[in-house]
Amino acid sequence: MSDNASQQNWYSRYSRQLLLDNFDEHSQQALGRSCVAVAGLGGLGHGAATQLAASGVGTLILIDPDVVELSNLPRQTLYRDTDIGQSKARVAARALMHINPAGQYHAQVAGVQDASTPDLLNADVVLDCTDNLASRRWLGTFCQHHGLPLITGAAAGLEGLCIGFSPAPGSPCYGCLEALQAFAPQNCLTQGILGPVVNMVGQYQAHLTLLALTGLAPVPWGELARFNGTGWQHLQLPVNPACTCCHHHATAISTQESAYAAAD
Amino acid sequence: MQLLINNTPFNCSDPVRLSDIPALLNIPADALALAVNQTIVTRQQWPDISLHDGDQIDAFSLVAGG
Repeated sequence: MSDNASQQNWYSRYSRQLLLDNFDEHSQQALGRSCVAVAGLGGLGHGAATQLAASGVGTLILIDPDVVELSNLPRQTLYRDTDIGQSKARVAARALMHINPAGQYHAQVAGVQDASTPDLLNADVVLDCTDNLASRRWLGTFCQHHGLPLITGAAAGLEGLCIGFSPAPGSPCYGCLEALQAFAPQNCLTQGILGPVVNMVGQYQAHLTLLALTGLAPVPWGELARFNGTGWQHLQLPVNPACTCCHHHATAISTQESAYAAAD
Repeated sequence: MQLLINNTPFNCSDPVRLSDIPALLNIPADALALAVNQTIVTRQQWPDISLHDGDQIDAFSLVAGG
């Protein structure tokens, strides 16, 4: 394809996004230069990754240790019957290449704790699409300590939630949410999950990511969007004094500042 | 005094603090988050928050599946 045809193709592909207010060629090019890490490629992550790739995000780090299972297929629509038994990360990378060949899709067949740290640090935004508190806690602490924006999604039963955590000082972090001590003991395995619920949350994660990467609209950082089975609520999360993650972060900064003061 | 708890009107005659809500709803305080007028209140602050006529309370648990 000639350069001219390729450019026309680019404008044609993204034409509906380019029509948006506060979105122009520079916004689209910014998406193309962006890197997003998607941790977990199940009900939340497969949809978020698909939307981000289709929207033109240049690089996606796709992290998941699991294989596609038959019970995934009613809601994880990126995967096919023939993918059963194969790595979700690898299948997703291959499928996304068909959706938008301009992107780079790096599969990591690993849990978040074992994912490549340089790759995670290279991300402009990290999406927590995992399915367990241990992974969420690890990712929340990692992003807090390295100053990475984190957009967390979760769903079980007919309920879902999504919240973006800004690395800006004084903002709540994932630990502030966990320190509410409000997690229900049930999960998707015990409570079940409905496809549209988990997919809505994944799409909202993708939406907040696109806002963060382009400046299309302000990101409602620290606002818990909660789907209660019939509608959405938006609740503000404060910094939680019981959060050990923020506490450690504050201690680390304080120690660093003391060291600088001593050096002066 | 009338509170709106999870979008349901709830009449109370006595002064109510946020920490009274689980007992009023007859639900355990474990695994519960409470928000007053769209702002989540940390568990440690529940006893310090006096509720007023017309306050909107959201009582819910968080999910962690994906």
